[in-house]
Amino acid sequence: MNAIVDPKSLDLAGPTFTPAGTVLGAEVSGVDLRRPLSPETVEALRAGLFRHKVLFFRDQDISHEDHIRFGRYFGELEGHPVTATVPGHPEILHIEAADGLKVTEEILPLARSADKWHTDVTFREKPSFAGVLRARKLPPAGGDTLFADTAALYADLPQDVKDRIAGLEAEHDILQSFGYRVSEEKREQLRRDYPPQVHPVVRVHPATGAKHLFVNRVFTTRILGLPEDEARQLLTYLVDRVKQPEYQVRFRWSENAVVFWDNAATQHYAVLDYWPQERVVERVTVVGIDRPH
Amino acid sequence: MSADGHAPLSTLLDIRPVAGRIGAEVAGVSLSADLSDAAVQAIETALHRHKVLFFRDQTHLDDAGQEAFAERLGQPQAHPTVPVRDGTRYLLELNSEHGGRANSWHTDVTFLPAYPKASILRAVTSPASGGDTVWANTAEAYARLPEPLRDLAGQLWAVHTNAYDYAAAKPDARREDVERHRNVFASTVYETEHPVVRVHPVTGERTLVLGHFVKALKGFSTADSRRLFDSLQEHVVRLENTVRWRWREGDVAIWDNRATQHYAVDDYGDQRRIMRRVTLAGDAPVSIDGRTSRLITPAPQAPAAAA
Repeated sequence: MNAIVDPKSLDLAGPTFTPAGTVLGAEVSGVDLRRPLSPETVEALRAGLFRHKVLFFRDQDISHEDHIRFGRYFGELEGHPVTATVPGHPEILHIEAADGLKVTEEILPLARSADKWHTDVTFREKPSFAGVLRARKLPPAGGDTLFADTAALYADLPQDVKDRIAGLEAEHDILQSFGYRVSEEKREQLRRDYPPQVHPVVRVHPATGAKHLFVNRVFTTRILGLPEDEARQLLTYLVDRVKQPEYQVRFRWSENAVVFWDNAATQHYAVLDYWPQERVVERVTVVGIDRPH
Repeated sequence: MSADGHAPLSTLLDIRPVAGRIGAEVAGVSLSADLSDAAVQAIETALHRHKVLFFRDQTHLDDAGQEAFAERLGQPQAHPTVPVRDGTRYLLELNSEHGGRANSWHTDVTFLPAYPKASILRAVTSPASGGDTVWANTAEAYARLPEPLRDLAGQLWAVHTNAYDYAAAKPDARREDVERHRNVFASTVYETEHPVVRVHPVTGERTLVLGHFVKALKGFSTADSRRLFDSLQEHVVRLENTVRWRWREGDVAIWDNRATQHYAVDDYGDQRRIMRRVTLAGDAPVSIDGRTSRLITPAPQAPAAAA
């Protein structure tokens, strides 16, 4: 071992990935997200992301600037048409259950889209490539986030279902989840700015080429080209597959934990079991690489 | 209860909730038959509150030690159809190499009227990754039902059986597992009627009694029964009502079988996973309106046989 250590060489030692489950997820050690990363580390993390689909980092007391810098290694960042942002940082989303609304126990089940399985922003023409979430304020217990592997969801479908959905497309609409939360005026604006998008039901991952089931409970409104009853039953069947624990990994947050996920390969679910305790997380979102195909 | 006989829980046990509505890890306890009465009572109280308790590093426990500890919490009871592990009185072994993959939501042994009140599960061999167990809180599930659905659930009765269609529930099951299910697990067919809502005999909480042993809801067509069941069962297993535990060898979990369902995640392929379980005798559920579950099959010989 060399006596004199170039600070950069610490980084070059590179991240290590410890699987957190059998299907997806890995805990990453050996990386300090408060510092600039070498191109080699960024590439190792990118490869790790494609392999494990969601990466968990512990004890990363990152600033807003660190958060943004980390996200930008993987592409441009985007805001969100509805969700609040951190003051002074339009590219960092501020996410909490109440989210500035007066939320009661009665409307809570309706008030958040995050406590349902979804892939982020599939209402966009190019849904985001990745998300980077950090814990800002955690409840004493609860508030886990689960991720599910949509390639495994697809792979395990019976062959007749695969045959049936090959080539099918579905509509995704922001208003299905966010529509009721905003004023009529804002709703009209969202309708203009984010018209429903049509995506394939089975998506090819832009980097790995793997096939992924690409419909979700939150934004997918209907499968096109089938009789209405059949389309509804098929969509229900497909979006419910994600509920099987075999496809999931459940992440228990800790202070300063950071989670980085491949939004083209996963769905996620923020468990709302801590109300009325508070939970605040912040997210940067990396823009999509491709229009799903 | 005397003041000195009832020390605050916090002084006896180090209890840390694992999820928002269910599950707690208990640290600093070495489970054994030699625990003080106060410690045993503290464990029971914590169990009724958190529904499932996790104890790490109980590697000192062997089969006999697990059985002896179990006796402090209740009357251990062998499984009604599956033979006990050789050399033990009550232990059920769940071995991944012999069909022991319970990856569907259930409460243990609900095909009998007086199904177990609690189960004590010990991880003997754990896969390097995977093989987690997930529990759901059936008291929270009931309490959070929309009121009209809660009222409806309180009127429902369900038939539970061990002769459910294993092959249909697990299309990928190996042939020997399907046969084992029929020849061992369902060697004697039991059918029991339970209220869908039972009143917990200790906490007084109302809990939903559902899970994969349910064959039908009484008084409905097959189609209606299936839809109603799915609708209620889905409320039970909402992620908000659940906790997921990643096992290490030597872990012990104890759950209140009257207030939970659980699911053993089958995602570890050919890795070995061996768990050993002791269940504790329970009492037959009582509905909100005071009626008790009853055995239908095998037909009780005499009134006393149903006790």
